Amino acid sequence: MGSLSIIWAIGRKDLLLEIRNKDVVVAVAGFALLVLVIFTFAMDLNQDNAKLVGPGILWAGIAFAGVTGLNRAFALEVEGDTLEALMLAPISRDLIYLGKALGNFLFIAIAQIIVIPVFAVLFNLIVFRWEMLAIALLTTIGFSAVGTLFAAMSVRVRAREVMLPLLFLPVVTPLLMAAVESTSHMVHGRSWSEMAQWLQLAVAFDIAFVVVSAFIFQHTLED
Amino acid sequence: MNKILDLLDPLLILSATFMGVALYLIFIWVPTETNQGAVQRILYFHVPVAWGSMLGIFVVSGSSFMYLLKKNEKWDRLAVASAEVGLIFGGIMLLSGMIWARPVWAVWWTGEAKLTTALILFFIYVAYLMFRAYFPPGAQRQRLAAIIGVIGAIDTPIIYFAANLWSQAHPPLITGPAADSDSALGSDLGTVLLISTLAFSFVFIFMVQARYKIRKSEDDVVELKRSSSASAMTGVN
Amino acid sequence: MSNVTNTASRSGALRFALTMILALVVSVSLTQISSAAHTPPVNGIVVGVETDDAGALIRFAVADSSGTIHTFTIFNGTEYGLENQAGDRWVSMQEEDPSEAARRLRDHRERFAPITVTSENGTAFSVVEREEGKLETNLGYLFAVFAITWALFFAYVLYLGRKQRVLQHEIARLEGLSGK
Repeated sequence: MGSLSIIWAIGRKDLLLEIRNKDVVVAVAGFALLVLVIFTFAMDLNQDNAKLVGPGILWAGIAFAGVTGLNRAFALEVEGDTLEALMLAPISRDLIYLGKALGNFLFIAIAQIIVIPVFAVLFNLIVFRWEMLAIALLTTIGFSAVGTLFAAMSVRVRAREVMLPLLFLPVVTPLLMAAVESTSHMVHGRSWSEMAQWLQLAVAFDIAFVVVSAFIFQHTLED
Repeated sequence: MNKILDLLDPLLILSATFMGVALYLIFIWVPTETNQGAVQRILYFHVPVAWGSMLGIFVVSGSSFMYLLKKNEKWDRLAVASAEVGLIFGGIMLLSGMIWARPVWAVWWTGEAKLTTALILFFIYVAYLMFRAYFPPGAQRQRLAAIIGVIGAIDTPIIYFAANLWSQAHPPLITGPAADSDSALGSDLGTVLLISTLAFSFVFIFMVQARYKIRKSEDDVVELKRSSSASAMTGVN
Repeated sequence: MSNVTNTASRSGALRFALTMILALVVSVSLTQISSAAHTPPVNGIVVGVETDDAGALIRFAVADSSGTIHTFTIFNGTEYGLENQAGDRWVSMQEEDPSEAARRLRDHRERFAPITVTSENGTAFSVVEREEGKLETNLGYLFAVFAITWALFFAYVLYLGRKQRVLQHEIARLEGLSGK
């Protein structure tokens, strides 16, 4: 079996499980939607300041919701002891990591497919553009790369629900900045070239953390 | 067992001596800067302390990396010791920077690149130490903590680059006396900064080695407990 | 044996704290603002300003609180940090705008606004606004940084000392146990 098919097999397993009980996606999308709705009440939104604050609220909401989802995803693994079983399989650890990261990527991506249209409606912004797709993809890759590693590490921590955001959020700050800034360029109708630097930064972040996390993941689980 | 805080410790004597000289230079020898007045002397604390916290990050990430490579306890002890001391230095760096910025830039805090980077790195330090505090002791805790150390090191240049880009998009809010003119710092500045940096470096090293030794005796206690309970068992048998 | 090391480490921490407190007290009590190492700075009001034909500043005179008049010449590198009545601070060097320096000093003479001059051999190095009130608020910031720095250092060293004592206690207890 090739590497890619192993990764896909693990990712698909998580996805099938998710389609059956819908635990993680509902948690992520629900949480992010609530953040958006609460902010529309908390602030006096109009056409001008929606462009100003909208991107920040969107990505802050998705980041916090993503943490909740990652916690949930690994809690499920712990409840079923399935992580240990996966470790016993004769697969190299970096492929297990990439498979899990693929699963988390799919969860957050599906949640975004629900959240972003609602964001567009609530904030009266045009987001259905290729730029948005690129930004969302790059950000979600980075979130799931870092999040999968840290979630696997936090599984055995006493206060997992607190620990994961404390680890995850500072590390993804540069990615969050990139997402917010390039989304802000996009809602102001600016071109690719103006957000190029931010997208490059996001690409660099993604490459660095996918590679390093895959490499370092073996240390999290060995005994 | 070795004494840890020994008053004849050469490092302690060295740091106290250098600190005394540095304090003399900072408060008495160096003339008051024309533009900013007395607050400019904060610089002579702020820069060495910032250097210390940077040193802390280097040591934490370096020894975390070495721990993952060699799995030797001493690297883990070094990492945790310099993370704790680095956190203290980082906290002083942030506070002294804010207190300096208030009269000079007319704001406590602004989105300048170095400030943002420093703050995020401070949070990574906090996360590192909290993780260690929450995780059950053992080899796995040390491995995972080392991973956080390495991840933090990789993140640092990315954070700085992002913060830099971000502050270009949002010009820092600086309006005080030093807003547009570079302040006129004398040539004495370099001398005082050098001595002060040396002094704070010695304090840093002193604290790290003290923490390192305590960490070691904590491990000794665990070891003793294990062996004494083992011998108690054999005694029963 | 462990009792001896106990007290030694405790007195070590204490000694560290005492040394640093001493250094703190000495340095704070000796702090004098504007204390150049060479000639003491002069505080006073401007009583005379001399300019050349182009209006550039050549010399000026300052009367200090005892009534003594000090005359200062200037050179290209003389630094200024002077405010006008509105409080706008003008920071410059002699070579950049020699006539503005003269205007500012005349303005100070008319307002009896005190200045501080650091000098050597009658040549002024820096001429700055004497802002007692502002310097005092400035000093508050400096003191805050100083206090926070040392408070945190002491707190950490004392924390280490306490940790150490607990550990030594524990080790002594365990050694006693295994000895029996």
